[in-house]
Amino acid sequence: MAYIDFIAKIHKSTPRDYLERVLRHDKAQCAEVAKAFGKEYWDGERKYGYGGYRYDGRWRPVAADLIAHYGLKPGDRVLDIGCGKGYLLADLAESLPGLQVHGLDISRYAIEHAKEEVRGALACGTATALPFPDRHFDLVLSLNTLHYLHIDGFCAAVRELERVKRGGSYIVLESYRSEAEKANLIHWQLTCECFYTPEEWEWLFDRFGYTGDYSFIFFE
Amino acid sequence: MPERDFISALHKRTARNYLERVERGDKAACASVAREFGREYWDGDRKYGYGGMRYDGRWAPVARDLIAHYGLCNESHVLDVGCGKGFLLFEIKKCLPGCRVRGLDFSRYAVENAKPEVRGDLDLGLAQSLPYPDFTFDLVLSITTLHNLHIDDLAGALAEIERVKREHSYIVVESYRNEREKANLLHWQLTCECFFTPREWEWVFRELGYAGDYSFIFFE
Repeated sequence: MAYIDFIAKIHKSTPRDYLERVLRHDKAQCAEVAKAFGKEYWDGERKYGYGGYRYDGRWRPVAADLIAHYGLKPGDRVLDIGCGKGYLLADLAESLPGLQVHGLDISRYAIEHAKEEVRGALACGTATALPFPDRHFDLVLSLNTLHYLHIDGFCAAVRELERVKRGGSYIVLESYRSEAEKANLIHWQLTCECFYTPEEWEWLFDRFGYTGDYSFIFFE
Repeated sequence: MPERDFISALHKRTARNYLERVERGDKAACASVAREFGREYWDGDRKYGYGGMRYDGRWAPVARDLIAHYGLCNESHVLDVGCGKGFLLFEIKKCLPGCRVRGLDFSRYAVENAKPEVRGDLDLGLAQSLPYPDFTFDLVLSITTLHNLHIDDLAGALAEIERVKREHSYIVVESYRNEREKANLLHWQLTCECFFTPREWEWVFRELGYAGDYSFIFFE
């Protein structure tokens, strides 16, 4: 289990007006819409989620780093829990032909509007009950997803993630290191249900039995 | 381990402008000051905490309900974890002059500026390491305190409450039941570190071995 950061560069490339979501919009109403993880969240206004963001290849360097770090080779199986539209899986498959990619997301809309190359490899489902056999994957990923679960769901998701992996795993979670980052996270988030410092996350990993790698994103 | 509510009526008496603390734009700075639990928190401006609340006897009905429900008498031994200035203990002692009350708070300022009638009954200390022997108290209370702890300390505090109690305990924590109450809590809170729905709290209680009574306050 190690702290390894593959994605901070991407997270930091987006400018965010933290207070706007609280002061300009009705946060509770926006959060309710966002939590449906439907069209509004993925392709609607920014106040509901991604703000109709168009994929620009930003996950490619992350895919290359993951392949190198985890020594992935053709024939290996990779699972992305909370894969969304499958951008990272598509970049992984493109960078390493022969890699078997699988994605799972709670959002039917995301899967139906996923990148065509990987759409057939994505399934609709929940992280707390993975529809895969034990020790099935050489690498399990879950990026910016598991903090959307309530604490009991997070505990179940960790158990499931540990069950289906036979190699490494890497998860990324929202966190905060200071009052400023706590306030920014609170103001920015729409669907977050886990508000923990890095020390708290590590305490939960230990308690729930997570043995893989991880990193955090912060709202600086 | 039933849910029992002795507190909501009191909680709902106070009018709160949830967004005001965000609109000011200095939430993080105010939270940093509040978390010191010093003069500013207890007797300073409302933006740092209690806003110089002057005690008006509001805890008297709560004390009467607790005494009746838990069958407290002049021989009872009661602990309040996070007692602040000792208002609730003061009211219990007023009804039952022989009752041995003990209060613990993390704030030196609160203990030193406590109600004079109970100041000698208060200790400075941490909820996660209670300076009392096992099975000491007939009733352990902790009213709107434990959500201010990080989850690892919450685990320690609940274990400590179980250790020092002989019979009953009753804790009150902040919670939310929908997106509106979640937004209100997130925007209003200064020092909260546990953001759980009632279902999550109950899961946490089971997971961490808390077997006493509880209720929630919501920001409607």
